[in-house]
Amino acid sequence: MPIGFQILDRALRVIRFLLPILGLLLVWELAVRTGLAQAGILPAPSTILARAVELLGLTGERAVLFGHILASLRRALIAFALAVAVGVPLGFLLGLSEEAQLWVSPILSLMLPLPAVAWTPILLVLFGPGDLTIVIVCFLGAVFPVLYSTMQGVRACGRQPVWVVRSMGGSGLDVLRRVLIPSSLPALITGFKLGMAHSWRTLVAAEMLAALTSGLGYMIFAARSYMDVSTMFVGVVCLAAIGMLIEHVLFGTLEHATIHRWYARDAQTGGRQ
Amino acid sequence: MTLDTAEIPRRRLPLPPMKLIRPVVSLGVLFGLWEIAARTGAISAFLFPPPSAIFAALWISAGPNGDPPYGILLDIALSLYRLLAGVGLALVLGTIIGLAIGLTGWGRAVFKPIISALMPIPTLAWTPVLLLVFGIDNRTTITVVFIAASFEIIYNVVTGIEMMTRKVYWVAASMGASRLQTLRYVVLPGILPYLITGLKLGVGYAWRALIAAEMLAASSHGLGFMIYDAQEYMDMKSIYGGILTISVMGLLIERGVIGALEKRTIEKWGVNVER
Amino acid sequence: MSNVEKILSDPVGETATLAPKPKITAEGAGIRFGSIVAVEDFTTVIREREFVSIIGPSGCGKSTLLYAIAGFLKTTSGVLKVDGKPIVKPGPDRGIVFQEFVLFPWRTVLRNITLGPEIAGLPRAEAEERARKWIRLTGLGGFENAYPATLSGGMKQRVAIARALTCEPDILLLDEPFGALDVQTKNYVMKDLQDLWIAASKTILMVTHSVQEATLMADRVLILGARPSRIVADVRIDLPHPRDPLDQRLGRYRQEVTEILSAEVDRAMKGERGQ
Repeated sequence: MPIGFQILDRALRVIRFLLPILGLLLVWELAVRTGLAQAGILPAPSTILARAVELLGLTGERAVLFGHILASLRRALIAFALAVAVGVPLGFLLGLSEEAQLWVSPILSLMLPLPAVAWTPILLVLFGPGDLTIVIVCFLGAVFPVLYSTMQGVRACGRQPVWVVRSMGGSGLDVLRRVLIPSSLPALITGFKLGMAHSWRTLVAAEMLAALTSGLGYMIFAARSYMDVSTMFVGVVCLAAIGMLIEHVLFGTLEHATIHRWYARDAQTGGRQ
Repeated sequence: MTLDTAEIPRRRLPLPPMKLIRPVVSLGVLFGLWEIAARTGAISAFLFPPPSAIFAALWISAGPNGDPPYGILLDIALSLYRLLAGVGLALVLGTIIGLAIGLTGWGRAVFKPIISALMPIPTLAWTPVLLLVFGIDNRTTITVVFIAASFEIIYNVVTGIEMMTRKVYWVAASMGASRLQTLRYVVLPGILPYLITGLKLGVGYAWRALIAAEMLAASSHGLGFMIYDAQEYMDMKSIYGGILTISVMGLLIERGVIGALEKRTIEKWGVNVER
Repeated sequence: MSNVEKILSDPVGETATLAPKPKITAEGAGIRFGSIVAVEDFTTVIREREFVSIIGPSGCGKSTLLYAIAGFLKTTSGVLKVDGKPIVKPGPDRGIVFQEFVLFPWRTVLRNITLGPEIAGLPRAEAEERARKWIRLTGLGGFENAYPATLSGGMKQRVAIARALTCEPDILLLDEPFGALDVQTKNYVMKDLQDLWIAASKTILMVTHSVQEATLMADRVLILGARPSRIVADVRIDLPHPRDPLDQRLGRYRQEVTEILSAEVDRAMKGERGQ
């Protein structure tokens, strides 16, 4: 019986959560059908859904959507990997040496208010439109959250744990392996999550400015020239859905397996651009 | 009435000189190396013009001989106008929605799901849609700013309300406060530190979103438009000058404006904002 | 302590010995949260200008009872009355002071204290006039313009007491008022509260878990049993105010209350183990 109740309770909660969203979609649909909203600017949800089915290739046409999704994912992931490769070592360095951090922080605080997209004009001149420019822009969007989280994680470790290992005769490598990396891992995972989210969020704008033939951002911006609003909305929904999948499913599982198990607490969430 | 506050400790430490020296030296070294590399031809002076040339170009564009005259100042003014309009809108609507979620059951039931559904959409993905609705117009960029700023404001207002203990309401109730009085004397000042924290984060997101939106959707002027426009003419000095201006303006807004606001409220009241 | 002399010369204190009317009446009051019974069958009469202390093992629901009298919580059985009328909601006739002070950090000491009159619609000048008396009597003079964050715990509690008294309540409800103070501060605030009580001629109901506090200050000590709590003893402390903590007779009362209380705690522990 209690399990039955739990399922019922969860189902009710999901319904209560979805109700306002469905209501909004219904109002939208009705507004378009009654002519209150212009279908040319704001297509009905049903029209958008039909377009999504088409783009997914379910009606027998070419499944263009997958191509765009894969191109976008590839760029975002490469940028993220680069951000981790650069951000983590740099974060460790700046986290361990307060002096280095103090000297570098003026440069960092000058970089922080800049949107990664602002570098696009320079990169366009340097490399022209294409994957390289897009990946670098996304990398610039992702590297700062990774860097800052790593720095904070290393800093938060404190000196006593290091001293404990030192007093046992541990070497510098032991300190790194047995103290710094494990203790900063939760912050690292949070940083990865933020970094990936930033990479994904920056991607749209970068693709709108610099993509030649593929990517969700390109699809949306190209659809705009044909006034193909339904495709634009499909693209927007895809961006949101994939972003959520990455954040909740991928990193959610990772956090569950690590941070929550070790610390029985919630990791910091959020982070958008 | 004698108001003797001499007893209250006021911390005012003199600025440590290192705090001023460090940025000057570290940025000086960066720009100095760049300058030398560009001047000696170690890096392309076209792609990476020496900082002195960038500053000179910036100086000219801020004067009557710029093209257009006072161009960079116009760009700054227009970007700030868009930021202010969008953030102002977000502040008003965000606070109202935040209060509705935090204080009322129906508000929570209606707005929370809708907001969680909208939040994962990258702010800039709205730009093409808004371009269709408003065209190339200030309204497009202002709406992007509004979207970028409002989630953080709503979230922090709700957190502020949740952080208040029920005893705070009880104190007001035991003084015979009405619902409206409780809102005015307890809830609004109580959430203010959180609202300012939300504003700080929101403005940060909004500034970055604005620049990107201006690159995608501004018809004329604005810092984002300026750097994108300069790219078409390969005017590297203007691009670097614009990027520098964006960064410095962003810092000034966050440290100067929001910092001053924090000093007058959060720090003066000695409250901690937990997020 | 020049305050004390002034207060003692006040003739109001003497009339307090004449047969006072019942102020708070409890008739079989009970409060339950879901299936948990916090308070059960609470019956007593508290007379005007009486200082009554409620003491009991921690978690016995004594604060719950106080909140119900304040009107923050509703009784689920029986009746609680003030001046013969059932309590329906909080009101300025019952002032409350919490262990955690619950001051408003965005208001100065003075503005915290004037909040009650402000809510009642009094002009600012008049509100300050009223507050001034209690600022003087609580020894807060000179701290009017300080923000609560800059004050020590003892000072904060004085502000909370002054704030409650400025609403001119008939009844002062104290919820473990010394719980968050260190021993030294506690002794001072306790002494001042005794003086204030004599000066203000209020009915005071104080919840505490300290036998020493209860016996030193109260006319009557109500001892509550472990949950579900009901009154297990009603001890009258027949000593004149202000009392000397080192008084032999006070020591005997202290012992009496302690014995009843520890017997109750033992009984509760055995009950728990027996289950």
